[in-house]
Amino acid sequence: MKSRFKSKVAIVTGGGSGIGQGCAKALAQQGATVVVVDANINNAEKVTHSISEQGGSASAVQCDISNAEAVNQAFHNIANEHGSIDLAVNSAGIACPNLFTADTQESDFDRVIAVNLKGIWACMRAELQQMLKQGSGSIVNIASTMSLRVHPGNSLYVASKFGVAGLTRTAAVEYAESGIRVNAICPGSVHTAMFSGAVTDSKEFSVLKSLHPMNRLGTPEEIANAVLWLSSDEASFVTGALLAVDGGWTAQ
Amino acid sequence: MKRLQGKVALITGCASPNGIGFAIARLFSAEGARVFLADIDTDSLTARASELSSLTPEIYPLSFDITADQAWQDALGTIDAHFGRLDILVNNAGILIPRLLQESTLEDWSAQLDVNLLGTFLGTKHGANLMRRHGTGSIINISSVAGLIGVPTNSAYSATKGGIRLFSKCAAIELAPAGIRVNTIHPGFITTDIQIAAQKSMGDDYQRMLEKVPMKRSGVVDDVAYSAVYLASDESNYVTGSELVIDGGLTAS
Repeated sequence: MKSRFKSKVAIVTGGGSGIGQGCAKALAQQGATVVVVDANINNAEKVTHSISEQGGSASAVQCDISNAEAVNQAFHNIANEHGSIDLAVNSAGIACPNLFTADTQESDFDRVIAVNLKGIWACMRAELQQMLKQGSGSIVNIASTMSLRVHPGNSLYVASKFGVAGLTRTAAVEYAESGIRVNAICPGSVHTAMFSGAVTDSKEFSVLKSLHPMNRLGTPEEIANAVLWLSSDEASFVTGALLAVDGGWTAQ
Repeated sequence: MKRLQGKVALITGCASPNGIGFAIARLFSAEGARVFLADIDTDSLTARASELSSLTPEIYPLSFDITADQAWQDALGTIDAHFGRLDILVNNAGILIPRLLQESTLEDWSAQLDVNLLGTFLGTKHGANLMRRHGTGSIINISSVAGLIGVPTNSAYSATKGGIRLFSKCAAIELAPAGIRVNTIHPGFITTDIQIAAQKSMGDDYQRMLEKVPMKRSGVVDDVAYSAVYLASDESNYVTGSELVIDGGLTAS
């Protein structure tokens, strides 16, 4: 167990799977006490169990982040129990059906925006309120290459992720003097359950893979490494940054 | 295991004791890298190298002119002869001549383009050739926030730094199949000799810019050096063609 984040309390939303799971494990491995927040409590508990087995410290909290009141309650409880929220990684997000804009449904719009945009906002608000009391903190949002570029058939996802970039940069500027840093990672396609659920067609998979000059997908660990850097004191002059971890996708 | 254990690194622009290049060299060697320090100023470079040599034996000063094609080939030939490989190249050497456009001379323009842009081009081209042999490598080109936004009195400098930004993205795409990553770092206000000199010559303009930094302060050279450690290490294996902005929120605002 390394000690880069010893005595730090970290929240990871969407920590039960995918990129969030990778971040939760990486933070715990570096000594943080990790609270894994997920809508699916079974997934969250699997991750905390795995962290405990490795000698780390973690607990699971069930929360639907699209419900702002539930988020307030959950985060209030977490802060009470642990005394602080030093690091937050807002990773919870969902994909949307692959449809051109004219064919998209209102229910899909509502669902994607509720989780990917309103959810991040609700979590950030609760985290910022706690971090303001502490006078310090770091928030890393998991945005997307689709916060910087578009992809046909993904207009709702793109809209939600452009919104995350806007929330990130605005909050970064607002709280720069309060000791709170707010940054985002923009991952390319990553090997996760969400990705394989959304991209089932092998032709679509090849197209997506070829969009990355490295001609491969990333791993949750590779995204987590970037989160570790941004969350650490090594990045103490970094705020409002959108860091692409995307095998070169957005360089094009 | 240190983060850069055993990697062979070359960093240009290492002569200034308060500069970003020397800070990167210091952190790289602390993380276990074997470091070649480059600069055209032989005397200062020797002094910096002996400062670091007291901490680690793996420090090699390499004095050459980064604007000369042959000098690059000779320098990399030396590294090849020593270790047969290059894992990390940081094109850091740069100069800033702050001057209003109407007062700028052709000499000012050429000097900045030569050191900042030509030097980065030659380094990336020749460095990638040596990296190609082992199918792995990380090239880090030091741009600036002036490569992202306009800054008064910085027209030529901004042209070079904006040029470095897109040059690096092209290189990243071309070199991805060879396993070589190319990224840029964009420091904002960092307390270095270059910025202290700029502060004096830019006067009120500098102060106005500094007030725009949301954190309301300058950064230190280690802030930049830590980001270079991340990009140099295997932690960033999926990062290429990307830009790391170290500016206290300046370009977000």
